[in-house]
Amino acid sequence: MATTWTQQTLNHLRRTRAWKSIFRRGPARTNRTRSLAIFGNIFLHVLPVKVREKSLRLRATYYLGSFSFFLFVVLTVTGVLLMFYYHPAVPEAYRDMKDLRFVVANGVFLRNLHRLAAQVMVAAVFWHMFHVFFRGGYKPPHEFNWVVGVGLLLVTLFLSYTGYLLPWDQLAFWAITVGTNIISYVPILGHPIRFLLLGGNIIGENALLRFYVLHCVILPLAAVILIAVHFWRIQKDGGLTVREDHERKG
Amino acid sequence: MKRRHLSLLVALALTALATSCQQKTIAAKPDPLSRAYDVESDWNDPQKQIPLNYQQAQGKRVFYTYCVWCHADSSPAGPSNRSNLTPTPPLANDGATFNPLSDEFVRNTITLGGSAMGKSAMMPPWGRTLKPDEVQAVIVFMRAIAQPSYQPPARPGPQYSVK
Amino acid sequence: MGKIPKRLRRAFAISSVLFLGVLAVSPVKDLLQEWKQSRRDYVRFAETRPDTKQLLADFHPGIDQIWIPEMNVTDRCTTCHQGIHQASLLDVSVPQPFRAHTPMPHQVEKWGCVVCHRGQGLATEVREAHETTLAWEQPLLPVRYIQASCGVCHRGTLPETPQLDVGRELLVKLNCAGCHRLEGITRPAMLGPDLTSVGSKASRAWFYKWLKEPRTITDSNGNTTVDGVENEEEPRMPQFRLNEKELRALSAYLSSLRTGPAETAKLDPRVVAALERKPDTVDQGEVRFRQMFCTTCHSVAVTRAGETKLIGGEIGPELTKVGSKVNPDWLLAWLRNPQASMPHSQMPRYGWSDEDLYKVTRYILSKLTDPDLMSDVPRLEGPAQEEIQLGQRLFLEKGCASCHFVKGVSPQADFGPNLSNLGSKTLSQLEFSKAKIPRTLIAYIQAKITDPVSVNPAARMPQYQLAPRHLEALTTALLSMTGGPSSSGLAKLVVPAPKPGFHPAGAFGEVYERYKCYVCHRFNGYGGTLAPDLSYEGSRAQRSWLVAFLKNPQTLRPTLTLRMPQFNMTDAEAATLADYLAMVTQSPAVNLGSVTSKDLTPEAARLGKQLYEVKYQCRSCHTIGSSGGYVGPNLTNVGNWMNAAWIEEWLRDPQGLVPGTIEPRRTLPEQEVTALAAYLMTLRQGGAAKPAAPGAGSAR
Repeated sequence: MATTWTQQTLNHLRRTRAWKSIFRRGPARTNRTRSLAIFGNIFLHVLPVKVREKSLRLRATYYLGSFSFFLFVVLTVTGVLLMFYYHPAVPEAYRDMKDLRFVVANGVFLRNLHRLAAQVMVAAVFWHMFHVFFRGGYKPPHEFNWVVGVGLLLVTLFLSYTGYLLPWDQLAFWAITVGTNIISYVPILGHPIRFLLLGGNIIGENALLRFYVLHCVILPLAAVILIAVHFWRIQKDGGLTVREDHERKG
Repeated sequence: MKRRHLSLLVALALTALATSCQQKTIAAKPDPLSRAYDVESDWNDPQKQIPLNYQQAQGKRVFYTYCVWCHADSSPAGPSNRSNLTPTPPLANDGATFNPLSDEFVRNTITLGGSAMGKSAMMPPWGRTLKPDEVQAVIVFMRAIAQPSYQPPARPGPQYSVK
Repeated sequence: MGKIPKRLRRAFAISSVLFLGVLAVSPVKDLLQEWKQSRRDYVRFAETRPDTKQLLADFHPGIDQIWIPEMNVTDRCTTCHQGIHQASLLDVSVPQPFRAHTPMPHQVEKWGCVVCHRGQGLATEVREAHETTLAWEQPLLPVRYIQASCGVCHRGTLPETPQLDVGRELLVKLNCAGCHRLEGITRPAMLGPDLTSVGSKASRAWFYKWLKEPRTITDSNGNTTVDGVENEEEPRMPQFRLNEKELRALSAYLSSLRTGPAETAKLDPRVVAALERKPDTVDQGEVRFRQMFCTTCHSVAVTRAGETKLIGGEIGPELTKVGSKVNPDWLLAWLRNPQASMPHSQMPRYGWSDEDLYKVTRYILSKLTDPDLMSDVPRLEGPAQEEIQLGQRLFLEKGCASCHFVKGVSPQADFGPNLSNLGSKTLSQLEFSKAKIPRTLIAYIQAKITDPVSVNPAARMPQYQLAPRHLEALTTALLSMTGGPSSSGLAKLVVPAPKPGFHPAGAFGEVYERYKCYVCHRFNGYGGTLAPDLSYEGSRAQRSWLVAFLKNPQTLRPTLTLRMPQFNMTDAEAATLADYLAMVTQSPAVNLGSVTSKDLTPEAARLGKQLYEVKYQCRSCHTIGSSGGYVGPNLTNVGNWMNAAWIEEWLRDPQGLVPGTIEPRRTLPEQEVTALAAYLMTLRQGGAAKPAAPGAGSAR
């Protein structure tokens, strides 16, 4: 291969001390280095080194799991950007929504994307769950991953629910009223759970703050941990769309 | 297209239609006078209403307290004093008399009195009774009700704009 | 690279491009935002103006906002309404939204826009700022109701807000305060007349007719002409939509209320005998009726040239057909002592001689009648007990008890809803049901006032008839009731209504109360505005003149149609009033002893005459003798009427003595003031000019 000028500079760069300190292995040319590139990278190591071609087909998974994850990333990014403008306090919350709409550049888009992504994500995770169920992806040895998936579903729903209150408008307020009143009907523990959620007996500043902390810190952390376990489990169990009979057929 | 895809599309279309159907609300008739702070019926044509903004409305108030006795014929405020006076004072909506006079001239006549401006001494000086913005308001009101209607003098042309 | 299939790579590429495309939509839409367009337009507009430099110096790109946190003001209106502060953009030819705000008492930078104009200050889009939308239900207040916003903080009357003041008066006059709680409106002592003994006042047939149609003026075609009458008087009692059974029951109940005063009013039989047979008793009664100026408070319909007009005042009920209404005994008792049957009545207790009383009652009972008044009332026999009981129940249920006091009957509290927050209600708090009106607060209020049944078929609110400008005034007053200003910063700025009181005691207090001076005259801010303010009457008028006037009031201001009634007061009463006025109601600006005969010389009088006639042309507004203007009081007898010191101070500064008087304040040198006073003091009717010092005489 004729070495172009760019390739020559790149080669020089690769031989510097700084480069070698950051990127430990050479270019991924051999299968071994390719494996190590994935395996030895903190960001990428949760992904499998090798995948079956069949699992990359659309009809295999409809990319539903990846799509849900993609939406989660979108939500996190838009969510963090929204956090710059939002005060989780009672008069400011609604006014900040107004500010996002009227003052902040691209505020409308940011908020709408966050809301849209949340609603699509709920649909996507449900679809993903149904799809996995009908494809038998819960069968041994994947039972635990199914449980983790259900946990993720609950975290998604709860994230949606806590996020709903944050605009502090009539829709939010009454939706949370209805929801927490339903919770209070749980026998024995109903009222304590409601009290814990709302930080009191009424839906006021405490409720808003609690829901905010749940929505922005606790639940995303839980989600990240569960996602990591979910991905790891898939990888360790041999990747997507592996069936015993396929395995045998090879 | 597969049948299930088709049925899904039809279902989506129907829901879209259903949500966009809204109850027709009765629109409020746009009232041309709703943007006016107050109205004054044209003295020559009581059916016609002249809209007045805030300043003109204050002028109307001042006029009907202080000026109406001499500068209008009998009105709901009371019988007119106009016929007792020689020379007869012009009606306030007399465009033929007032339109050629500048705001400055009218303001001086009101403030300093008739005899100071070479007019009848029967016009008292109101400068110490009315505040300057009340005088301005009366002038603005008179311009609003003038028949024939008042055209403000032309703005200086573009040769005066600073660029 | 590995074997990633081409289709997959392509799909990934396309979806990435699509995603980036979706992301790119937002910055583009951002550029095309409404307010950015508006600001670009403004720059282009400013460049066509002569003062471009100044306009552009005050301009900066980006959102403009007025932010006053203590008053909860965050108004971004000036983002589009960029020219608000620019005096050069005041002209009507300047297109909106660039036009400057019309000059008004409150600075926009210190108050924001929403405080007066309502709407959504946080918005930077036209529709969101101006109209009711999904997320904001308080649209802009139309400018014709903007005085309502003045009323949120200004609880008293303001000359700049006539429509609001009229609206607030109407809320009392039309008895809204009887059933509804209204912010800042105090319920007067008497709304509708007391009905404790109304059974002895009028007949059951009359009650039936009145309850069915509470008006008594019908023209020759049988049409009710109140609305066509010059004063545009609405009847103060609304119509209650009563059916036949209810009318019978209520009229039965009312005619059963006969706990009358024990005092029987019987005239001296000799007087009656003497006048009974005289043919002109009724005409003399009419003369006395006119002389006593009953029409100052009561209006009577007069037909002239085919046109029926209500002539007279609005303080008491209209009397056109009262002769067919009242029981003659009741009328006698009433005229003798109104407060016996209606303790809160504002009718003064005239001094009646039996002769006068007989003549006037004869006149009323024979001339102020309508024999066909109750011709359309069905036959009503003696009321049955069930009817009376039903009537008693209806009296409470229909809300009669909320306005009419009957001893022993306690009205339902809060008969109508509390309206103190009506102006701040959002759309979702209003029940429109099936009413075919636009869904706005203003349409709701107006529909409720003009036709309550259309909005709520089960409404207990009666039917009012309102002239359009009164409807507007009422709407304005109701829109001003927002439950107080919305932030603590504003609450500190509320201007409360002044609550003057003037309740003298002693001999003066008795006479003052008997003749109800405060209904027409004002003392130190308390009282009516129909007649002159008497707070400084002692400085103005001479005592002897006061006594003469009280005994026999004359015309002082030629253009007024309502005059002071002749109360037939005794000399002692007149003396009490005049003494009090002369001693107490003095102005600190007038020193009665400061003008003596040394100042009021004949030479000064001659100069004064010349000033009056030639230099200042006072006759353009004042009459002396038979010539002059109608604007100010007649000066023919002013030498006997006023004190010289008052005249001098008046000429120096009229508004200092009577604020709001239309006498112009001139710049008169002292010599001219004295000259004019000297001249005016020579104007006396019925007697030569007294050489005595007027100043000393009136200081008694």
